[in-house]
Amino acid sequence: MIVLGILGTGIAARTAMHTATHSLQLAHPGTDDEGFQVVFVSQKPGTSTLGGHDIMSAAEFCALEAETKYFNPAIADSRHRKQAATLMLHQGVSPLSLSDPSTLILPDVTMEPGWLLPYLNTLNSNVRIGKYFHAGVSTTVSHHNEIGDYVTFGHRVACSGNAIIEDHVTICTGAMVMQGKPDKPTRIGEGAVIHANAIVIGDVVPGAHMAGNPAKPVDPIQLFGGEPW
Amino acid sequence: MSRIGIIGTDGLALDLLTVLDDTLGTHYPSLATQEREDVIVTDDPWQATAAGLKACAVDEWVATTTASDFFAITEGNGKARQALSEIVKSSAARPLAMIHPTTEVRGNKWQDMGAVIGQYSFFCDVESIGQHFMCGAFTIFGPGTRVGNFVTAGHRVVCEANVIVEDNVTIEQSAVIAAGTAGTPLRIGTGATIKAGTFVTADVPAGALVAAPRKEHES
Repeated sequence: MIVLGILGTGIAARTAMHTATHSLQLAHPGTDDEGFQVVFVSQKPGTSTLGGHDIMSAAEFCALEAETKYFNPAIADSRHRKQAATLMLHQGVSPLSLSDPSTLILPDVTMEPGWLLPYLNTLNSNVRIGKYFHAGVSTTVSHHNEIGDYVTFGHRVACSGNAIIEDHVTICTGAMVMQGKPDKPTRIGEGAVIHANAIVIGDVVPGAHMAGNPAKPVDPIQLFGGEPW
Repeated sequence: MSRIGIIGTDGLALDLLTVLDDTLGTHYPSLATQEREDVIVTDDPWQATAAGLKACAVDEWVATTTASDFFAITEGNGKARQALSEIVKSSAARPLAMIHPTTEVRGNKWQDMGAVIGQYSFFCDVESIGQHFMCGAFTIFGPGTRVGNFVTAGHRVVCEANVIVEDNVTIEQSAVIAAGTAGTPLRIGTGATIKAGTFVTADVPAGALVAAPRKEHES
């Protein structure tokens, strides 16, 4: 039995669930659907199944007897995603990248494992993407982009050419990053958050929250009474 | 022979008519193979004639339909759609869902009651969709979303997850409704209007108009 543990039971996990069988078949061509088992791994108690798949704790998942075991951290918060992935790697479980058949990846795209590309994602040429990249539905990553580790995209995010997106950046639904120049790319600093429907036209300092068109720094506590999630 | 009445001449209706065979083939396989007649039901027959289709007045349609006929209401205004549905309710025809073949419905299969949905939309584990729901292209509806009757959503609308959209709500193009939680879903009240490009992060009361602040650009 080949087992995939989707870490988390939230929105991302429920979206990731539908790409699981396709991704497992890519990794193990020729295996029957009956040879695969998909489970959710969660620390929170609650219902025992989700979408017809079992929910188990991390300890139960690690103790599970299986021929091959994979995990994918389908957790939108990048810090929690890193924690969960690190825990699984220590337990000797290997990451599986999840992508939908509708994903379009053009030539010369370098990706570290553990990504999640749920539906209609486009990755243009000359793109480098770090580990555990997490995209929403119908996102576009354009040419000559460099994306760091644990980067999170919401639905419909468009990232134009010549941009550098550092580690742990979150770009929310519908936001756009406008293009830089080959000698001076647009740089989104580490841990920055681009809010929904914002349009970023220049560099963003690390840790900043940006909103509006053109995007300006905002105070998330004033806007939402805290972090937006 | 069954007839399919497209009520209204909205732009989306004309888009969907060009792929009607594929649409029916995906969702109504039995209807796609049998002989049928497509008519545009409108009191303004000029538009239908322009599209090269047979036109039929609303009163005539109501009077002549049989139980083997189907209809879809493609009027962009939610209130007008509700009024039309009241008129055709007395006829024998059944509502037909016009879901573009490129639209993806995953997880929970909701019962569609006359939904009209544009291309490349994505529905993942949506709990329910009400009567005569209408939405444009590239919309995304996430897990746990519940949509009421006569709701209208423009192109590229996103309802992230656990959102309750009540009856007669209009969500304009590119608006984003943030995610609620399973315990406390985000609620858009009856008859509310969300203007284009707005990012909604809190509950919206019934009948409210929500718009993003509009500013002049500093050049």
